[in-house]
Amino acid sequence: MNANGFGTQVKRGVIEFCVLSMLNRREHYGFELVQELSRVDGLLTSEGTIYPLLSRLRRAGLVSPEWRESTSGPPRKYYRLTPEGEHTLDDYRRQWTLIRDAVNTLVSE
Amino acid sequence: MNAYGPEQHISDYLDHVSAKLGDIPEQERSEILNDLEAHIRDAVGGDVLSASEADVLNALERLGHPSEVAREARGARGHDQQTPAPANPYEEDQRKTPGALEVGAIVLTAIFWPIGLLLAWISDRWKTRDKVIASAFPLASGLVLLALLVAGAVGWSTSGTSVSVDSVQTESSSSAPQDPAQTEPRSPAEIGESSDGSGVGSRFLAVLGFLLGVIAGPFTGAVYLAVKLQPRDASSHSDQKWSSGYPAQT
Repeated sequence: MNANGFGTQVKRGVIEFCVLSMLNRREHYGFELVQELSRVDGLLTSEGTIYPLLSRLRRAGLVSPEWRESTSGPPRKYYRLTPEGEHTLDDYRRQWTLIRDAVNTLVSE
Repeated sequence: MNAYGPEQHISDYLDHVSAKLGDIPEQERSEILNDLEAHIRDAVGGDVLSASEADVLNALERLGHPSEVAREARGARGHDQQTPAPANPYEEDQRKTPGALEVGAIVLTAIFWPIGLLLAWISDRWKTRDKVIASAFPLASGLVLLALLVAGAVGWSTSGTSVSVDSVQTESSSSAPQDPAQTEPRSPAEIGESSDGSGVGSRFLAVLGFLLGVIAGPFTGAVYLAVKLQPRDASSHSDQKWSSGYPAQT
């Protein structure tokens, strides 16, 4: 596996974690999520990849979409976290802390 | 607006994505395409028809190559030609969840480690190396506990000797009979002298030994087991699983 592959794989998991976390704070529509993720450099390199991810999270029952009227233009699809999504997010947080500490320990040496 | 306007760029892009998503179920494909279309509309300020070509092209470029989007869709569902996803999604979950044996091994290692570790060694869900490391924690702390018990026993007997010597001196000086009630009038300072240093020290060692030997070691071993639990059939699947989400770009 090359260095690019490593970055892609790590980012993919991290983006999912970030999306669940953002949706836990409040509901978002797709473009809002992309805008927030794009505020940090280098995380979401292809913005379009967020939609297959959201589709998967929806099919896994972690997020649920809801159509809302928009003040401008057609209705928007808002995503929010389901109780199962909250549970998964808690799990991700625990794993993240564990992984972060482990990597810091091993890589800093 | 020329013949090849912004809408053409958008529909070209969406057609391209759609073609790349050929093997994805229809419902999912149209969901992704609709979401992409809504995204583009938002990205160019709400109205595609009044958007500049530059804005549209910029939005499409930011979305990424259709292959990238398709790769995520395929990777996300495990729709990969080389490594088909398990027929039953529940099977995939089952591979990761510990069985009764593994739960028993982890819990019992924390509570009563000899049985817990025995179960862990029976299970094939840990690598041998991890079993050795997990066993080392309670064993090492058990040895520390044993060492402290031995040290405590030695300390106890020496402090006991000094106390008896002390009390003999006290008794001889006051020439009182060996009645327990009579020893009470001794000043607190005398009692303090005889039991102070070694008493507190050995009590501290006993608590420390208890913590290390009975709690910390087995508990660390149990946590280690929980962390190192391998998916079922990890050996035969791990390599494929690692790359399943990331097929070569087509």
